[in-house]
Amino acid sequence: MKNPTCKKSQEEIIGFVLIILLVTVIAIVFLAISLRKEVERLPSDEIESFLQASMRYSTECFISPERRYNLKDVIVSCAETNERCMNNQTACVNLNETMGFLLRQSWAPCPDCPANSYNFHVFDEDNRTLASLKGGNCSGTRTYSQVFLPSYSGKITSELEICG
Amino acid sequence: MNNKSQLKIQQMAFMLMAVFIFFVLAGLFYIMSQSNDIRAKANLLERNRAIGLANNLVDSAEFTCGPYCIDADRAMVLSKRGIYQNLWQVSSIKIRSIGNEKDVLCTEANYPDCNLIKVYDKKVGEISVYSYVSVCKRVKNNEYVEYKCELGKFIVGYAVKK
Repeated sequence: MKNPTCKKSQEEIIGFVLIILLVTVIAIVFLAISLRKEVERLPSDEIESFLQASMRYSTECFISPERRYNLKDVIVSCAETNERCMNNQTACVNLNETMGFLLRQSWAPCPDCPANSYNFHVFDEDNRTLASLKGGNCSGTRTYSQVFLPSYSGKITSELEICG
Repeated sequence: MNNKSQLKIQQMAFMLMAVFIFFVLAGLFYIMSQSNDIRAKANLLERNRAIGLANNLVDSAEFTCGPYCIDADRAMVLSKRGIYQNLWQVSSIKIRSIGNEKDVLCTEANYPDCNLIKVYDKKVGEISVYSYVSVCKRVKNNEYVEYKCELGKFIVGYAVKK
């Protein structure tokens, strides 16, 4: 014959454990939903001004002695015919080199800097990547901007994302 | 029997308290993470507003050579004329080209081999905001004169009211 008090205690313990389990499951579901929510990217006027201003930057790509390409010309050339500059560099190589320089000068990640990472890429209408440059590790708020360039082969998109 | 019931009620009260505290803590955690997000958004909006003001000045007929473009030659001319200090309601305007480690102040003697144009500076305590611009100037390239553009910052200073 079992002790009825002992049985009742066991039942209560089981009830308690069940409640704890239920609460834990609810908490886990709640956490999972909030973590799965995609991190929002915010549009930034500073990045837009950087991208727009960069498009006029005079590159080291001369197509003829009197014709120097700016960054916008280099991007369009890279998407279309990938012309060769007078220094024997192709437009796509020059694009990577020039944009890499500008990004390092403006958004280089460092402990006291506002940005801890940058992610720049250029792609065409068929989602073909023309250039992709990354630096640092992303943490904190993600801000971005895009500029669109018209070309014979369709719309070209340049996008820069900064974390900080 | 009465004692047992009291014990049960006590047990239930403790349980309810524990569940309540758990939800309060979870709620606090959620509110804190959300408020951090809101603060970041507010800071970004404030920064975007300041950049908008700088962009308005960049578009002034006295400087501009197009959207996000500053004509450095014109800025040099403006820097020599003190009357412009009262045209814009800001305490300083500087244009710095990016690329040089050290700032070289532009004067008539060294232009265009310099990277910092001080259009004017009232030298009052200030906060500054900037917008990226392309800084374009006419330079000699062998036998050609070309309009060469660098990336730069258009820096606007505001007096701080104390």
